[in-house]
Amino acid sequence: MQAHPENVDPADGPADLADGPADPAAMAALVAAQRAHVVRSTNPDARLLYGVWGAAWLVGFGLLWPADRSGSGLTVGAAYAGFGALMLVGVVVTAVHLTRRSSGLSGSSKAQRQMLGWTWGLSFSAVAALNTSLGMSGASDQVMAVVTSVVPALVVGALYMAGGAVWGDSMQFGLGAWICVAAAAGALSGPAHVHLVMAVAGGGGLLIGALVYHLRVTRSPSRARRPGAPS
Amino acid sequence: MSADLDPVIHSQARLRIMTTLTALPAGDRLTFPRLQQLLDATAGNLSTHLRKLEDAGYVEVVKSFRGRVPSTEVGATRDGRRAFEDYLAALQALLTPPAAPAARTDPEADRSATSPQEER
Repeated sequence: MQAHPENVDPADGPADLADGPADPAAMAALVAAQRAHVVRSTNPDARLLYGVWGAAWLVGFGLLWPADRSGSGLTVGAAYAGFGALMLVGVVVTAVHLTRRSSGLSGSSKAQRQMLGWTWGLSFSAVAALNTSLGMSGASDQVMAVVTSVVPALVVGALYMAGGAVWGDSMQFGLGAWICVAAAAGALSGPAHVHLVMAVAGGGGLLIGALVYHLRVTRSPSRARRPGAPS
Repeated sequence: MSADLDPVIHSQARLRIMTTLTALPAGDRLTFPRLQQLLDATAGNLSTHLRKLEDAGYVEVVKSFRGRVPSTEVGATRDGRRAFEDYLAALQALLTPPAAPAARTDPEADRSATSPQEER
């Protein structure tokens, strides 16, 4: 088989694929590079997701914490509006990112991702229903502060742990376990400090998770497996 | 050198296509535009190579309609995955030649030097 020079398109953008064989080392390098490219392009970027949610929790719960105390200069309503806006940003970024990465995929992966999407969507709808119900039934501000922070964190922690177990991702499992511990610590620290605990331990934990994933990616750029290794 | 390498896969274009499709879990498919995007290829060129792979039974091209919009999905078949694994194994074998392959090239000079080592 010969290379076809007429297939080479010097213009930018999509081009005819380079044809013909190259030497074995070059072919092996081609496999490694393309595999890494596909894995990178079709799988969610944990750094982005943990980073966005870590920042949203750190700032969002951080807004709520001083709002609990008098003389902070921030009304409770404004703090909750800011918190809600940050959560919305997190949801939108996550949805757009996952949709882009999954685009054009079909088969078992797509079904799996759709079920995961429903898992998050339905559990958080139930959390929202619980918060609404408690609010309408006259729960005190103290009770609301604890429940509205701890319950969502508990759901996140549990889903991360389950996801980590299913995907064999010990990092994700560990992060989920940490979030669960942070939720427990937040609950036990009571209404005065629960938002502080969720901001620092929860948001901080997610940001550290993003950093660890980043270091893992940059320190072993060839997590793309060598050709011949089991895939 | 390339006698053991499957000629259907042993082209840069088709190797990249097979790499892309087998990087997905078994049973998964990609739409044609997404595959095109992951390979940064033109549609016509990609079609040409896909036809060769389809003729060999290595990929399946499924055409359907989503509503009124025609959709083409491409996936690696079981045979294709096996052929790709075999190709990678053959490639790996070429990259890691058996020990002391040069011993036979110069019988006069090498025999005395390599024989004692080979007996160990």
